[in-house]
Amino acid sequence: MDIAVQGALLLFGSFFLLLAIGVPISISIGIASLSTVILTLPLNTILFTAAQNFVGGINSFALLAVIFFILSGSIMNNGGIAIRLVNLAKIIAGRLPGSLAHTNVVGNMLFGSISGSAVAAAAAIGSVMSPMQEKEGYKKSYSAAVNIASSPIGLLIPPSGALIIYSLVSGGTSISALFMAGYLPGILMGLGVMFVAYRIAKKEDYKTQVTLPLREKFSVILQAVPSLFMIVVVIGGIVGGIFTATEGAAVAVLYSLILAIVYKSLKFSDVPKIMRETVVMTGIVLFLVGASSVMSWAMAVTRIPNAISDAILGVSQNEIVILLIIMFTLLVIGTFMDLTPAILIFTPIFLPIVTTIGVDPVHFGIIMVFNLAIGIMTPPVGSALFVGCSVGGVTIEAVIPTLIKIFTVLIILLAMVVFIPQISLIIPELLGLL
Amino acid sequence: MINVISRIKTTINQSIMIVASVLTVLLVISALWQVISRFIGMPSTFTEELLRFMLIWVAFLGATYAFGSREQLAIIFLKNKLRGRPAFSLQLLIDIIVIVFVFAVLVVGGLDISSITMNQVSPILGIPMGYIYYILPISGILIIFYQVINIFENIIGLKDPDRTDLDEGGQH
Amino acid sequence: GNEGESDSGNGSSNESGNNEASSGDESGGNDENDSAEASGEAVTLQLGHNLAEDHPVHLGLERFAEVVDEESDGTMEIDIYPNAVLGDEREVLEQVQGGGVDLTKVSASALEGFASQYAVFSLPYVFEDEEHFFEAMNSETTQNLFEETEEQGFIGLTWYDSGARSFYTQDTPIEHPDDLEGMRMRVMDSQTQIDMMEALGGAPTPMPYNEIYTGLQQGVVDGAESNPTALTNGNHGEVAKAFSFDEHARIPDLLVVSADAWNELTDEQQEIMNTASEESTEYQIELWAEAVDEAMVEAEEEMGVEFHYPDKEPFREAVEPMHEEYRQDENIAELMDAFEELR
Ligand code: NA
Ligand code: NA
Repeated sequence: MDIAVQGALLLFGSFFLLLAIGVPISISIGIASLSTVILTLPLNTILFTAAQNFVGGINSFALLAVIFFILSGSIMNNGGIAIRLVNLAKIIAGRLPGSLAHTNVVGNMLFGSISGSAVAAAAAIGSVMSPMQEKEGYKKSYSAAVNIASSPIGLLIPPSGALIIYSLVSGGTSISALFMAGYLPGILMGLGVMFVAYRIAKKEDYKTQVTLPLREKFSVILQAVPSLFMIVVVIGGIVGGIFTATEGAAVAVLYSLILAIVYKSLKFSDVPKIMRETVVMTGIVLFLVGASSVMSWAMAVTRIPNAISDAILGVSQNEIVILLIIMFTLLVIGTFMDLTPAILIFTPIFLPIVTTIGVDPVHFGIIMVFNLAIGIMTPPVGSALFVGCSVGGVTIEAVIPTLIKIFTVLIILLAMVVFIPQISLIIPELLGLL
Repeated sequence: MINVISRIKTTINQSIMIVASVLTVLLVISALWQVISRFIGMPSTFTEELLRFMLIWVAFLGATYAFGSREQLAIIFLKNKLRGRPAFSLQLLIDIIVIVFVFAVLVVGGLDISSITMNQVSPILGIPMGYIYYILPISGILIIFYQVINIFENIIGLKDPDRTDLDEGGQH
Repeated sequence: GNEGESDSGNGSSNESGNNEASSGDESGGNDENDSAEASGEAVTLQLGHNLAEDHPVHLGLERFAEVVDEESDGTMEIDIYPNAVLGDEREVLEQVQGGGVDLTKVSASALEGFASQYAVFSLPYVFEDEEHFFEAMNSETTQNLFEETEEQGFIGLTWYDSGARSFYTQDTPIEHPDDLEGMRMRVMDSQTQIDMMEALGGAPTPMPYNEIYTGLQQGVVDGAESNPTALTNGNHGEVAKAFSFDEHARIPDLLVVSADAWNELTDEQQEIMNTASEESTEYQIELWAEAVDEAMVEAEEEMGVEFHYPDKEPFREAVEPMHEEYRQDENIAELMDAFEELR
């Protein structure tokens, strides 16, 4: 048997077996990788090269965005920013049936426009929204599903750690172009979730909020301005060339800290909790990244990426078919793999294939992130799903039926994003970034 | 005995968290200094490398801590189906798999790569690269320590099924 | 993706021992190759590097593999892994030191951290012009230098041309070192590059290679320095329109082999490797010249880049104090003197 096929069978076979019995994902990835390279390399070189790859995978400037966005998200989560954004979202989306659900979606979009972490959005906005919705008689599974499905919008709407990492691994694709390309697909994702939320709300007869008097509206907007001014500071600073996107994530930390102090909603006693959250979550994500780098190496040594690309191009040369295969593959990958490692492993495999059929690297970055954003809300491994269920006080089983309805719409939207490049590319083109 | 072990674990937990938190604060400060220094026309030349090295250490410390608190991402579907002795055996198997991998790659492989690179200095700071790689065996040994404690706690849990607080079940 | 083209039949070859550590054991020998008994046992050597498959150096390495294959009657095979799939330059070199990979291509500047005397190649204006550079690279001095690192676990085999590095900026040409005043210039991660930029008056700004494009586009940095192929391969010509040929440095790429792997080869096999590396260098130099010409045409005609040709003398003068400083390292001073004699 061809070594690549043998390797691939061993790699994925042992990975799924270990995963199924409950071995931590990072360790499953590591062991699967070693069991593959043992076909071609002696053990003594495998161990130190795997160790080196573990560090090498993390030794990247762009990955600083991960810890900075987790930290700023955690500060915002504790810092009274969420409630002000939710109040603003109420004004924007308060007149639709199931208005609190729409408020949640818009809240996640607003939060996402200043934060680069889906988990932080799910936690921050979800924890403000779920008690309100429960009081209004919304089903917990409904409000949690809506929160989960809209929390990854901030991965598309800039700033976005996911797009920074894609920019790096795709060989320097313009991060400004990627950021601008994310706006429309992000908004589209939000509208998609709202569409499903609206239909369910009508059926369940969820209430519409009373509208606020003009003066109160004004005060709510005023209260949210400092939070939203972060868009100007962070995105403006990046586009204006004052700092790089990665450095912008550190600026977001500083700004969220200032906001939390200005809003007087961060106590000194919150600091240990914020640090613990940040360090542990960073550790989990980046340890996965290190393990994924071991997997990339194992795949390269056994030439699995070549085999994958030969297999895809062997099925068809038709670009629609190729894109559909990649889209489907990424959806499957997203079910069990976290977003960051998936971007790091699969961008180098898929990008060369799609560029040969004329897909713009900026467009493909949006496809990757949209695709894998769906993955983080699916079981068995979905960080937004886990956090969203935990702040919403529901089990994973309970939210699944509603989530499946939303997935249907999101997958249709994904197909639109895949096959209509203009959705992604029009804004960067208009701004002269492409 | 339980008290001694849990006190050691608490001490290690706190030490890891203090070191990692300090490094995290330094990360933010260094990155901001990189921006400011460039803005005033004297770009800092050392922060880029320093930031990457500190990130590596924070990442491994955080990951190590997450092994101790059983927060590493895993699929617990099968574990949730089981009760009593089978559940204990499965958890034991998983913990042993983790220990074997961590020992082989982080400890043995990590010491190897550290010694290979001890004479190589980093391009800007001039630090021997072996020191950067030292985080591998350090975190490897700590993870193994945590896993052993976790196994120990599970044994107690098996004898005394009411003590559910000992095993939080690895997912969040 | 057509990585597979570079080496025929990679599938079956991997099954036998494919590096020095296993080539000696029972699985390493392929009895079918009796015809080539003169060259000893069959070996497959792994070569990892960080360049794309259309890069002249990759093509040079492919030629190297071809010649090795031909000269050894198919008993020696070089398995090439491009695109940094085995790791970046430093990481693959570490693997070479540890015996995980047999061969790699590294920029001489990446070797500074492993063997400080290699810093000589990164110093500005050490070489007068291309001719002097070629002369120096083919000299006995360089050959001896290649062998000096055996204790560190690797040996230099040959060099490849990586051209002359010059400054490019969004729109301001660098006609004189004074033009660099207050300019944030991206430099490679290395002390020599930082020192050079300071000596010339620019503000050295280390930045990962992959961030240069956006960095230039948004103005985080005002300029960068490389050879003209960066304009096209890295698309930097889309965002940097003024390229000034001050040609401050010629930093070669080097093909290095793991010392362990090398010492396990028979004399004949070593000879084959030497022949192949020489041939590949000659071939690569031609390809490189073509690639630079093509890049310049493309950058000028399709990207609208303007080329400027400043007087190099003021640049040379500006880095003289830096030369003096680096001469305090005896090894570097010796190398500089030896190169000086070849002018
Ligand atoms: Na965002
Ligand atoms: Na998932």
